Amino acid sequence: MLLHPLFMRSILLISFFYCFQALGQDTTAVKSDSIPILNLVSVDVIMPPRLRRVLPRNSIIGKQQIDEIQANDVGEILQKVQGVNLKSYGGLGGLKTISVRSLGSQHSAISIDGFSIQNSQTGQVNLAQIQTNNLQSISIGVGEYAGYLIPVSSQIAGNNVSLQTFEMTFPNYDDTLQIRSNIRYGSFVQVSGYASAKVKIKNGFVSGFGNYRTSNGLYPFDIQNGAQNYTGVRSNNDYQDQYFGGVLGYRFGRDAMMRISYKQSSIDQGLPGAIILYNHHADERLSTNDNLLNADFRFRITEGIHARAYANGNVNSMRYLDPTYFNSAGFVDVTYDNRNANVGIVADGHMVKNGAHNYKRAMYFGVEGGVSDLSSSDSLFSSPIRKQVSAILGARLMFKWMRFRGHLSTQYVNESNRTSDDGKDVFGLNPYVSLESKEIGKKSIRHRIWYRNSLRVPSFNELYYNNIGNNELNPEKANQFGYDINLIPFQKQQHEVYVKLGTYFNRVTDKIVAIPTQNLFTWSIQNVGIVHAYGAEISVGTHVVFGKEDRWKLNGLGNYSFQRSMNMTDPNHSSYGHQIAYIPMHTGNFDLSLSYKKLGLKTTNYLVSKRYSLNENTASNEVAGFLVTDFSVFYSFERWKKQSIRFQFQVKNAFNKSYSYIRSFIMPGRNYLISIQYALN
Amino acid sequence: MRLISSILLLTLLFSSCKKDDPTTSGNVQLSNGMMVLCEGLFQQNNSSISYVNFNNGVVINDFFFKTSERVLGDTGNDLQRYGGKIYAVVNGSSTIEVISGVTGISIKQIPMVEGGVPKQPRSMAFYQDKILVSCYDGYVDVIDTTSLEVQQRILVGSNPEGLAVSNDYLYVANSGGLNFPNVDSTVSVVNLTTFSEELKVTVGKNPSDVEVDAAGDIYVITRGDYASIPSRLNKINPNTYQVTHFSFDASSITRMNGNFLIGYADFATGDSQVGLFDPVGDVLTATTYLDVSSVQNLYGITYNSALDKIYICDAKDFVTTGDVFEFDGSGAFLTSYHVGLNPSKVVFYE
Repeated sequence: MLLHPLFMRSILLISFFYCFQALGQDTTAVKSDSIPILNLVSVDVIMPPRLRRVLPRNSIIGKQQIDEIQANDVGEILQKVQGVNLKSYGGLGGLKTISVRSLGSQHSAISIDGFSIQNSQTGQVNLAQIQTNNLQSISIGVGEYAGYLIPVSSQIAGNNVSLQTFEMTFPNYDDTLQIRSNIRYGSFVQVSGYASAKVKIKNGFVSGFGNYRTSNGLYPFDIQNGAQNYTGVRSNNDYQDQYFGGVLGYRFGRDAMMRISYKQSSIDQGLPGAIILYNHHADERLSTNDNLLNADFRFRITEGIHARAYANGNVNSMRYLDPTYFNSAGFVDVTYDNRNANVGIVADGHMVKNGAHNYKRAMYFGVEGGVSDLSSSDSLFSSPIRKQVSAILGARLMFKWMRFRGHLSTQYVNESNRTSDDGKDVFGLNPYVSLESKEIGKKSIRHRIWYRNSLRVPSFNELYYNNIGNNELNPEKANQFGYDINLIPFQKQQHEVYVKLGTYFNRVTDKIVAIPTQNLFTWSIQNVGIVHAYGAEISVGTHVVFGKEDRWKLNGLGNYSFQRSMNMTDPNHSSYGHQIAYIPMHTGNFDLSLSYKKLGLKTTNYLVSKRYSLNENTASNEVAGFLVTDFSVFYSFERWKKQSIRFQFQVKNAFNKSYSYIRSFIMPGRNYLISIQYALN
Repeated sequence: MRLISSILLLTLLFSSCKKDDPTTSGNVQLSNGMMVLCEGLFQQNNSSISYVNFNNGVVINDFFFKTSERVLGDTGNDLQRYGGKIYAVVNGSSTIEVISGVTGISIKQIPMVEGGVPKQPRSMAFYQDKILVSCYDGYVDVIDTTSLEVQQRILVGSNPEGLAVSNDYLYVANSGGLNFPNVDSTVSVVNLTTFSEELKVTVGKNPSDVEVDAAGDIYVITRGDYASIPSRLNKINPNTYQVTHFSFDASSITRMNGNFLIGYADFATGDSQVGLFDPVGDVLTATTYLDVSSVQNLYGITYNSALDKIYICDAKDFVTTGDVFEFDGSGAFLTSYHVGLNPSKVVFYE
């Protein structure tokens, strides 16, 4: 009595439609002069650099590290952050999502240049479709904000990732023209080209950008099937995407600026699906078109209060094609149109008295409203509309030995459905508090305890997808308790060692899972899960400069995360207390780069312990752990005036390890990538 | 002396391995036991066969993997014994696995592919020296039991599921499940002399399981639309093709001597029941023949006529390993066996 094929296709579709540390500056309490609004674009930086360095609470990956990693997408970089667990279905453009400290991917809010990336259909962002060519920085906040004046939706999420691109950043005052370009060629006929130019105009800038990427995806795989060595080539794994767009930015004196941007992107890809033993057939396809419009206006309300108004909207169209489906038509060809629009304002202010800024008492607030809908040519899918409002009010207070930060947020979501029953409206009131000691001693030790309460609303797929959706779903709730220690045990001139420690306990209730309840053949999405997760993380980084004229530079980073994530739903269930599927108990990475003048070498190593493909922790559900090592060599030099060229050759998965994040989705073996970057200014 | 010690040690290791390893096929006596097909989950490549030894109650999970040293494949759907062989239909992998009935070792893997496209085999029936396999592409494949090759394909209805043979005719349930909600309602009648479809009989929405009684009448489960149209039992008169619809709930049918065990799982309430149907009088003689209150997810019913025992497969929540419950012929619970993921079909060894 096999599961009904209708269900099987539904699972396929749902799965397709969906999944370093840098030093920064403290943002809290330093007296300074009036801050030009222009400076506010930088992530987590609102103050001039301090003399004493302080580790940021969020994790920041800078431009240099992004370049050295030469990742195909943001997911490959985020997996290097402690506490982050990547789920990748393999290949260029294949679904990639992250879970942070055992919270599902839909608890992570992702924003680019201060604008939330939203997909109400799946509720999550495919990180494989966010490339790194144009990224200036990546910041991830766990129990903390990943950026300044980020959207309300990012501030109230369980955790948040903030990306900054070259195109949207105001140029330096003396740079009239900036260019960035990148060409890559790699294994599996991977070819990509990216170019962006930014021209400074009188009080602003105009930038234009474009990118093209393609690969045939035909990588060999090798599975040990008992005594058999089961080999093959990943088929129907071709991928092609391109995007282009433009940005206009303008400053109004010192105190206000605006940006408006448009981006169009399209993707055409084969869907290879899982590697099914003895069956190599795959012919489904997915094409995606997305039009995105962003605008924001930053301004100073008073001397100490900065605000940002923002609006963004996107239209995302997907077409799924199965040319050999065994229905009466002989194929499936469905389209999904998902539209999202948001407007909001966020502000952050502190006391200013007689021209002196008092950062010891600061407040922030924000309000955001949005609407999204979905329409489909699939007659079984509903036609939902979602309207939502969220608000946040918070404070930062600084005492003699302690800093307090906290907020109370609220959100209301109204669900309606044009073709069948509405989903349930959602109202949430979610607090966040953080208490942090000030730097103690010369080692800059900081202790922090924090608590965050958040929720994530069900996606349209979970509420309405054909027979699987359940419009009675409640939001999934998360309670996070964390204790962190940041310190710099050694710092002398340009030599430095920094350490971050973190422990946590998370409790997720009303976890949204798929279970067979309504009938045998069509499963249903239900709120039945309870997850308890606790863990510890350590991150140690070092930066050493040595040799004649400081020509040698050594950067090292090691992360280790322990995660115990337990299913606590039903004490009578055989998987009670077992590790949640696809959450490894141990993850770690070790990166080391050594450079001499213009030449550099880098190795990255990523370790994931065994996981289970289902919540029942049996041997047959084990997915083997892996260690993947990349090596790269790079050479960069400057020519003429402010022009730089960088060559990089990279061997990924150097030891040709056969591994997978997800059972039956084998990742590529050893592969190569050559890249050339050019930058002007 | 050292050499002698080494030889003795090796001999001891060798002999102790042979003696203590109950998982090797050489040590498993395939008698007085049962093989259980555990479907596994779609895209997980974890379909398996468990072997249960009735003598000592020992369960060997992943039995096929241990005997054949490879995985059965993705999503098994049917397991039957015919002649000296065991046949397993593996739907996701689109293969028929032919297994020795004596050793439990794979003899041959028959790929079920047409024009490069997997046919998605679903269920089997047997007729003389032929294996008749329903395939979701709308055909029934005819496989010779000696050559183990597909000899011909018989066009039937959309997405055929269960099938059964009665008096030189094959009856195939055309579910049309991939056209949901516009599912099929017919049963194809195939003449096994000419191996061609002669007609289609309309029975009700979404036909799935087919069984034949001692008189040659055909009984068909129609699963309806999982909502307002309930899952029911229907009877086809093989002479007149007249259809009788029964008004009680039924989602599976299993022959037990001269009667049928009628399974029904109400997933709205989570309740299951197994009744007894008398095909002679066409009456449901017992609505609850077995107490299956401890069965979480009724996923398969098999009757062992030699032992006069009933075996109920419990798939639990589809994501945790299941159980097989053993009852005697009168419906009294005897014991249970913990097996692999999503047990559904059972074959017996006397």
